[in-house]
Amino acid sequence: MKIINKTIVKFTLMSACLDPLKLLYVALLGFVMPIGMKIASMLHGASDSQTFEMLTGKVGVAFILMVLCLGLAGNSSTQSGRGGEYLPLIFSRPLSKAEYVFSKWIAIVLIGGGLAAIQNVMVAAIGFVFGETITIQAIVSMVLERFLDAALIAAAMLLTMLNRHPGFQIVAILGFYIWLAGQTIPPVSVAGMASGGIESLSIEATKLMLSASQYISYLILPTLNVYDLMTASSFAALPYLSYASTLALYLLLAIAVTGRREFFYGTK
Amino acid sequence: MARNDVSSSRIPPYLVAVAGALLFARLVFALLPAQAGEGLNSTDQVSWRERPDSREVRTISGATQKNEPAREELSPPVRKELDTMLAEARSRNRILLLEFSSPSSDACRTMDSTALKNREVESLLARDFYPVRINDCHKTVGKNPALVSELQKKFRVFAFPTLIVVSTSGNMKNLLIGNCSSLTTYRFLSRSVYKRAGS
Repeated sequence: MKIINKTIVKFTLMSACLDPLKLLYVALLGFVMPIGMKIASMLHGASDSQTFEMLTGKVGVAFILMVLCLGLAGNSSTQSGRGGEYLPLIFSRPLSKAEYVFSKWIAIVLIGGGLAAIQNVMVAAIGFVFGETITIQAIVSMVLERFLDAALIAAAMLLTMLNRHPGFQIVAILGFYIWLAGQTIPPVSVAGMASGGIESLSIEATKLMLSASQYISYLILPTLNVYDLMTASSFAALPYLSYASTLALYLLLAIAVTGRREFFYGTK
Repeated sequence: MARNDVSSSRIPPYLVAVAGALLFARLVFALLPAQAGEGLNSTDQVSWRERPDSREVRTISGATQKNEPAREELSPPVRKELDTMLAEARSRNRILLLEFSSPSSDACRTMDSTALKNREVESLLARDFYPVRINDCHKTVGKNPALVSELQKKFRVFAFPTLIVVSTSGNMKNLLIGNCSSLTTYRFLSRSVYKRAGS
């Protein structure tokens, strides 16, 4: 059984590059900002900021995917996009739902993982020039991690794009933003005793949001920290199982919810 | 056409089987009481000095409103303590690394058991650093000894964990805030080693 359709992969890759504004956004947020931050922190001897950590980690992958790949699968992908004129992909023969979903998934993973991996390697090279010790193992783990992040986030995005139930889409987007908010705050405990009132309320609310983000992260986006796992002194199976089971489930559900109208020939 | 409809709509059975098996295995591993691999942990390469130690915690007098130093100043006893730590680090040709931690903080516990237990981070710490853990006693004892509160003020520590690389003159050279990944921690430490070599 054929799993990947090269034409769909090529078409999806081309469709992602149609809007110059989106490309500019990705260039600025994905490359100019983190590279600039890295050079500035190295020149001034400062630590990498939390924003830098975000932009060069899984959040960076999510940003790239949200900008370039939202709408690349499902009904909206057959409509002409903003910023470019292209003919909709009309299939001349039936293809399986699995073939469609896997092809779209591979294309989106290549876009998100590829761009984020290039960015990570560039940032590592800058760090190396300025004296950071970076091992080959660390670089390999960073690149692998970006592709693994992209694989999971892309599968979740596909499921959301293909499932056209508005309730599901609202819950998915809400879950994504809570997860994202949790990634923007470094996991810390606040020093000193809260004086009560608004201050305590603020700290408790932040803690609640962080906890919710952690639970969401564990349940729906259990990304792998490859470097930690590669250099850990003991083997833990749960992170791998969490990742693989979630990925398999997303792909399975994406295939299950795909309507044949999304891609069947003769349909715009 | 009807045959095509059936075949193209079919969900791959292997994917159903794989997803089911993985979900089951995940559930089983999540419900297991403890990590089976814990016994495989290597022995600690790094010996952290803990301040205040248990004896000091029992006799905490605390920094009162009157004797609290200005942000950049340290009282003579605390200055002497810091100088002793710096001298210890210098005598071993190492860099003084302070970890401001709180025993009641989840983020600190996580970092201590993951990033700071990472093989490469541990070997870098053991080779180039003189690590001292400054424990916050606010939540356990109710107040901090002068050493903790003054050092927190001097280095502007507002969250735990915070790692601070201290220069030979006793000032902050570099800092890392929050429970970061092993790779971030490793890069932070390696940069401090490079800067020392370059200086």
